[in-house]
Parts: sequence; C-alpha cells; structure tokens
Amino acid sequence: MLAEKQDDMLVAPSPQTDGAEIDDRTLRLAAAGDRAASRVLVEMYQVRVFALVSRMLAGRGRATIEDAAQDTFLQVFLRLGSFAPGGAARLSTWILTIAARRAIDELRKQRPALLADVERTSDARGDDRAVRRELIAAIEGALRELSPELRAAFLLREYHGLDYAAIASALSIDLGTVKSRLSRARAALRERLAEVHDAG
Amino acid sequence: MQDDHTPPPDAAVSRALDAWAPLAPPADFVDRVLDARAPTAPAARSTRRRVVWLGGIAAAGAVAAALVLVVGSSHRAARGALAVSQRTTALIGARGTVVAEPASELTWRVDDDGAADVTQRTGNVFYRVERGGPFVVHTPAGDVRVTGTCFRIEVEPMTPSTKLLLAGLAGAAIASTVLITVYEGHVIADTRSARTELGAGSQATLSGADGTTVVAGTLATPTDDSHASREQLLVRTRAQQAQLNQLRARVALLENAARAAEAPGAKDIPEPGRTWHDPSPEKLAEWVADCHVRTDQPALDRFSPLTAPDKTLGIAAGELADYNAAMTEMAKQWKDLVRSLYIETTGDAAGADTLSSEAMRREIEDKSPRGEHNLILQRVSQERAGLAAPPADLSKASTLERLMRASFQLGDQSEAALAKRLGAERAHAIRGEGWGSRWELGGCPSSP
Repeated sequence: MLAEKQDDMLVAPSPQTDGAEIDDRTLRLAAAGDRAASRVLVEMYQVRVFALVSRMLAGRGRATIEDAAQDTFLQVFLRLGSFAPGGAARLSTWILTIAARRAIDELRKQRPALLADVERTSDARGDDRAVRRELIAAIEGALRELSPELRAAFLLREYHGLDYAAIASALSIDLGTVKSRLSRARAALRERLAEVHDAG
Repeated sequence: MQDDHTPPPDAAVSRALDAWAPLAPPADFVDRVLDARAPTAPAARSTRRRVVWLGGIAAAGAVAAALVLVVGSSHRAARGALAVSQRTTALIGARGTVVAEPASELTWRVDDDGAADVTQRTGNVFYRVERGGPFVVHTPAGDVRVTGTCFRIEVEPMTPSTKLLLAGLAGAAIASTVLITVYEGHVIADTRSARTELGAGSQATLSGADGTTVVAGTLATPTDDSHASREQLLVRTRAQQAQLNQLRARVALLENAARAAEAPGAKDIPEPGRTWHDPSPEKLAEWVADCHVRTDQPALDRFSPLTAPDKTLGIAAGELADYNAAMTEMAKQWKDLVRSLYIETTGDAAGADTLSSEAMRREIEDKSPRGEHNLILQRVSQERAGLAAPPADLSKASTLERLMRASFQLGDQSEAALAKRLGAERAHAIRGEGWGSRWELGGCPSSP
C-alpha cells in the first residue's frame, strides 16, 4: 500500500535521481547577473536545495525553510564568481554546501521542533499516512541525536549521494568522525524503526 | 517482544528514508529569488516573512519582527532601511549582504554606479561586501570604508558602567562605542582624529567623542601622522599603548560575552537570583516584542522509565522508583490529552490507538491554520507579562491552542507530581537540571 501511494505523497522530484548540472555558458551569464541565466540556475537547483533544507529544518515551518532556501541562492549569486567550473566540486555540491551551512546557522538558533508551524507535505490519508508519520518521526528522532553538521552530513549522504570525503571537506568535519557518526546514526535509525515495527 | 526482535534490514531504513518527502519550492520561488537579487529591492524579498511595507507599519506596531522599507527609489539611487528584532539577512545593492542581529538599525543608499552609503545607528551587523565601488558604513563613532571584505560592526550604547570605563580611558564622556572586527580583506576606519587601516584578524574600538581609534589585532597602519612632530608621535604612541592594553582586556571581555551568548545552552543561564523557568517580570515584558515564550518539560512523548541513575537529569539511585512513577503518570496524562485533541481534530479514533503522542501532536499542528502557532505565542507572551488576561474558558479555543497551553504547563505539573513523592525541594532541584528539555519559542504573527 505504501509503495502504491508513493507518487501521491511525494511533492517534489527525488533529488538524488536528478544529477543534472548547469552548462558553463549559462553559469558565466548567471555570475554576470543575467536574469534569464539566473532563472535557469534557480530552476535547476531549487528542488535539491529545498530537499536538503526542508529536511534539515524539519518542524521549523515553511516560512523558515523558504527563507533559508532563498538566502542560499542569494549567497550563491554573490559568490558565483568564485566558483571554479573545472574544479573538484560540482556546482550542485557547492550549492548544497551553502544550503547546508545556512540551515546549520538556523539550527543553531535553538528554535525547537516542538509545536512549530510545521510544513504540509502530503495529502495521504489513513493507515499509510500514519505509518509514514511514524517512519518520519523515527528519522527525525535519529537525526536529533546528531549535531547540525552531522545532520547535514547524514542528509547529504543519504539523499544527495555525496561521498564521505566531499562531505567532510565541505562541512569541515573530520572524515573519520563523519564515517563513525553516520554509521551510528544509521544504527540508531534501525533501532527506532524496530520500535515502530514492534509498536505496530 | 524486545528479546526476540531483530533490527530491520537496511531495506527498512531505505523505505523510511523514501517515506520522508521533502518540501517542494513554491511556484513563485524563482521570481522571489530573482527579485531579491535585484539591487533596487534591497532585502525586501530576502526577509519575506518578516517584511512589513510602509503602508503596514501602523498596523504592525510592536509585533513587527523587522521593518524593511524602500523609502525612495529612482534610476539614480535606491534607498532602504532596516530595523530588526530577529536576526535578519538583507541585501544592500548588488554587492552587499548584511546579517543584522536583533535591535540593529540600518539605513542605506545605493547609487546607480553601485556606490553604497550605509548608516548603522545601533546593533551588531555582519557585512559581506563584494569588490566594486565605494562602500561606506557610517557609525556614531566614525566611518568604515571598504572595497571587498567581510567584517562586523557592533555599535554599543553606553551603559553607565561602560561609560565610566571608557570615560576613564579616553578622558571624555562618550555617547557610544563601536567595535569593528575584520574577517577578510581590509577596511579603513575614519574618525575625526585618525585614519586606521585594519587587516583580516584585526579588531578596533572607535570612541565617538574624540575619535580615538584603538586596535587590538594583527594589523594597524595609521596613515594620518605625516604632519605630526616626533614629540607628538611619542605622546600619542604612549597614550595609545596604555589605551591598547586596557582595551585589549575589554575586547577579550566582549569576545567572551559573545561566545557565551552564542554557545549552545547559553540560554540555560538563569537571571541572577532566579531559576531558568521563572524569568523576571522585566524579562517577560521584554519578550513580548518577540512573542517569546520559554517552556520546559520532561520528554514525555517518548518517556521510558530510567533503569539507572541519570546525572544529566539529576536523578540519584534512591530516587529512581519515585521519578519513574511520577513521570509515567505524567506521560499517561499527556498522551491521553493529546489523544483526545487528536481525535477532536481528525475524527480518527483508530489512528489514535496506533500513533505515538509525538505523531498525534504533529497531526494537530499540521491541520491548524497557518500562522496560528505564532498568534498563540503572542497571546501567551502578553499574558505572562501581565499585559493580557488569560482566557477564562478554554473550551472554545482551538485544539492547537489547548495543546500548546497544556504543553506550557507540563513543567509545573511535572514538578508538582515529583514533589508529591520526593518533596518540593528535590522536585525543584530536579527541574532546575532542565528535564533534558528546554525550549525558547518565538516569532510573532506576520503582519498584514
């Protein structure tokens, strides 16, 4: 049942399957302030940025998430001139790093998920919705055990396919720490899922 | 059941991850970003939720989290103003980004050629400026000129004690002092008596009355001494050395204070003579402007009895049984309440039997009108400050309001439940450890 409902429940294309990058010419034009090229850039990466930021800031409300996503792109445009297209990082990785840092800043404000103005992400009904909410609560519970940086690392790894080295470099975290803590986060998630399973 | 359960395979993790759908960008998101990037609309879009346009100021009153006004705009110049009660990011022209901390006030003008003229009257503002034409920040104690750099300016109004300290240092009464910290590139600090170049890693304090500039850091290059005599230079050097030594201590104090304010758990520090959960009337009155509500509560959503003493919670071995009994009772009451509100909200009694109280809470929040959360925070903060009376009858309040108000009572109720078993003193002390769960909620309703 859950699988059959997936298409209805997802409100955005899955970002990990969307690995497209902007072409160099459009990139240069966007960096120079061209509005049409800038539009292409935002359209190309907005889903991925929202995917990361909305999960990083789960429970903090749509407005906060939209502000963070918007600030991310404003930072991207301000710094686009310093991005090296032929360098080690892909543009998507570079943008996601900026988004992650912006979300980390937001998390450091210590506003809790408790009773926040939560976002609406689904119209699913009935048992599927209940199961899904429990699953999401399990993930969020596991993520709460992590620092903001490691929460970003977990999401970048699981949803955006970044490798450990890229994550460690982008977020200035020790590579060994990333590996060990993400492994523990997965274990914690398994435990929580087991609890959901048992409760059901 | 716990003994024979095996962790689900990774497929279960993947399935859970797949179930967590992200939020999609709103339809107008691209336009919003592009408009915010446009130099003629500084900051207005970047603070979408917090912006109150000129026509809305009167209605916004004290609840406005930030005011961003484009007070004049033509083909020659764009002007703007910013007064914030929350941390706010805004654009100044095409080259400048500012992050203004609460209580900061800025006005600016950006000419057609990109030259920016900013006035920072108060507050703590971080600036990132891309290379380009002139970019000047006027402060009460002097001007800061930059080309391309990253720096912070803190304009500090004088408290009596600070005024005395600086009057002692500078030999004059001062209206305000300004601390500049440079992170990248360099800036030039101009006062009436000195022009000082500051490099990355430098800090300088400007005093307004006599234009004193004192630098603590790695680079300070005074550039206006070309006409001074040797004696004047020696006198000035000795005076500045003395000031430098004392102000280094002051900078260290400021840095420590800033670190303490930003450190995780900084809000855990109670006011002198008070507990964390019992803020002073002055603090409560101050919080009304931000619709700020402080609350503490044990983690009742996922409570499971302790099996060993817990240092974090402050529970000793001999208190385990009583603590567990009290919290089990509280968790049951809380879940019963959430369950009834959930059923009232959704009509889904069957779901209430399978969902955790955490999931039911989210469902209630999910079904509440957008913005109601902030309205409730506003009302509660006013009531706590004595500016409004609590509702006499909550039965007609929305389920979200009843849920939130009930959650705000959990700290007191849990302390009372513990006091029955462990005595008032121990219950109060255990609460003082924080329950492992303290929240600072804030955010006023968006203005029309």
